[in-house]
Amino acid sequence: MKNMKVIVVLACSIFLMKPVLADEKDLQQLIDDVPEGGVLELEAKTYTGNIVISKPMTIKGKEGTKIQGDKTSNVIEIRGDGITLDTLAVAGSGMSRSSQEEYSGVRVLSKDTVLKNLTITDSFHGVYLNKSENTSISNVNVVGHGVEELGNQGNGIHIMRSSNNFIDNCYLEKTRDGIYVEYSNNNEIENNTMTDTRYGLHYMYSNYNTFTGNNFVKNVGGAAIMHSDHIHLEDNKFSFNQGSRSFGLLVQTSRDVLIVNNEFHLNQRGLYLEQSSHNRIEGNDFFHNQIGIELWTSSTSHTFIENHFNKNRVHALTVGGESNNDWFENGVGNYWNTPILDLDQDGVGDEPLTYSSSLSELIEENELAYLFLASPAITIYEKTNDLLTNQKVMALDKYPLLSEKRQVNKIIVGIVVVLIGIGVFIYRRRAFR
Amino acid sequence: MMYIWKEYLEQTRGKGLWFGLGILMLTSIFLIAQARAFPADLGFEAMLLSLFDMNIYLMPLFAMFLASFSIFQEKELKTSMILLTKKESTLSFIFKKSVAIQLVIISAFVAVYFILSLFMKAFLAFHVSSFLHFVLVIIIFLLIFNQIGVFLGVACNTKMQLVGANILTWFIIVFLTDLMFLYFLPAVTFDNLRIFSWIYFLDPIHTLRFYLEANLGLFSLSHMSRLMEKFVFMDSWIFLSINAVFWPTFFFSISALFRNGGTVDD
Repeated sequence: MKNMKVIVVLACSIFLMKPVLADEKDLQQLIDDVPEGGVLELEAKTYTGNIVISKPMTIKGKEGTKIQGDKTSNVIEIRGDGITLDTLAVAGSGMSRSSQEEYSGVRVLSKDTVLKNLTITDSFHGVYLNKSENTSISNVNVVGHGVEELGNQGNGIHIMRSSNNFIDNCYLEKTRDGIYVEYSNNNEIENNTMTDTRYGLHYMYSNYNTFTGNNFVKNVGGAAIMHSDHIHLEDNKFSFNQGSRSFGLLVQTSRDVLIVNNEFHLNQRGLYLEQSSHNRIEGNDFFHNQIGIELWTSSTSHTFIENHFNKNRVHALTVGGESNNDWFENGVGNYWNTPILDLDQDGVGDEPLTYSSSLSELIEENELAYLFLASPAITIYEKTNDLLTNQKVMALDKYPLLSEKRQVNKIIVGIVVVLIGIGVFIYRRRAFR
Repeated sequence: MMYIWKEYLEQTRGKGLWFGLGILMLTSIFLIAQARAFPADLGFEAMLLSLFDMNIYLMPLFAMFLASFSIFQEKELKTSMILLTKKESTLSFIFKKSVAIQLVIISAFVAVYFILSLFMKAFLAFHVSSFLHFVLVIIIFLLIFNQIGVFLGVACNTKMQLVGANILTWFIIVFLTDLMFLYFLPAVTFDNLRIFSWIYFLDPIHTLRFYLEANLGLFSLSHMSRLMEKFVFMDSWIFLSINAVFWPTFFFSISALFRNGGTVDD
């Protein structure tokens, strides 16, 4: 009787699984039936993965086309060159961390792949490039499982030993790292948004990469460049990366990194430099950060010019002793937004500007010092140390630049005048009553 | 109810409340205008945090002055004597007066922020939940400092004494406490961190700011160092609740104890 029950249960299970297996076979069969270089157009319905594509072809979906993995492996594995995936939703890769490989929504192991208009959810990694070249990733949206689950999930786009890739207009959210790059050179990453991740961008041992126009917002760390040289960052926005250890951009053990015209707004630290050398930081805007630039003395020979420092609690902080960096070059310094004399009206201050602070020692001694950066007492602490000559020079700018004059907001002035007028009117009426 | 109505009339007929609210509105409008330059994503939240940072300077002063002078006037104009000789005990007088002061001042300031919310909505990407978190923080902020004001009003015997006590208390709370924290900071280790953490979070300004930062999404509580993990050993709302209950109760209790400047009537 017991055996009978087992047989019935098994028969039912096989009967219930049958459509799934047929569906999976259907999509793989459809792919296998397409000739090399052909186009497979999918309908607006859910197809069952997992699938492997090994020949040049295009898979084009519609709004509503979804490939659902069985949560045991990669949902889509690209093994052939010249494959294009367009307009698909992909979900359900394996999440195991004890398997031989880390699974992903789309895994690319070949050359000349194009991934565009994809939405990837419920997967360990979103897209995983492994030893691939010339991959183009556009308009790909990867949504992870959230900050609480960072340890149990992978990255939005994981690039491993893959070069000459182009990534643009992607939106990566709630994954471990937005884009993770390791041992991969000559990649171009443009106009992407990374939010609610650990690091929006994480670089390890990767050289000659370019980032432009990316938006790193509300991550634990905006972008971390580690052990990577000759990186170019331009026109990126690093904002709201807050937390006790957060930063807009971390450059660690890297050299010849060019950081130009980026915005660092409202971060715990705007730019964090550690064990790095010969990097150039030019024309960036450091606004409303707790610390504009935090520079550990292990970092030397940097050049900082034409950067704007405005409303940061501390504009620049050198921690761990004096370091050898240039805050001017060829008669051009930085905009410090402090009153400076310019009698010859050449736009450059007449006297060198020495930016001093006594907070570096405090921060070096105890991490909890960051908790007090917003305190009103910090101003008194700095002034007291200034009087007692305990302050240390954080930056010496021989050619501080004069900031441009700001426009007065007429609407706000109007509102204030009206409010004051109403106040005076009410007061006068009451006085005569 | 009589106390609340009386307090309302006294406060609205006086200049102090209007002066405080006016200053608060003007400075807030400038901050809102400035926040238009912030990145759009969390610009509203950053502006709320800036408003709170400004309030750290202004609000304790306004709350303490308004509350302390309200109760001091009862003594100065001898109205407290009339009330106390009828049916009130000193304890119930201080309690009713505290409730009246709290209700009137908190309502006035919250009303101003609701008016300011119109400007916020006009100029920034307004988020209701963030704004409500901010209002909650402001209410607790006022609750604590009003009660400190009540205590000072009860404890001081002359107007000069009261003005001095208000300014000194403001200076101690806003500046001196943190300077002391900074002085002792190098002595904080992983082993004695829990004690430091309790003392840090019993400072209402620290807790209120921390709660606000965490709930506005401007301070990430994930991926903290081991030191910070140990430091933040409870949810921010628990610290907030402790402060909201402990300090008003504490200052109410010592107000009862220090009535008439600590002198004991036979």
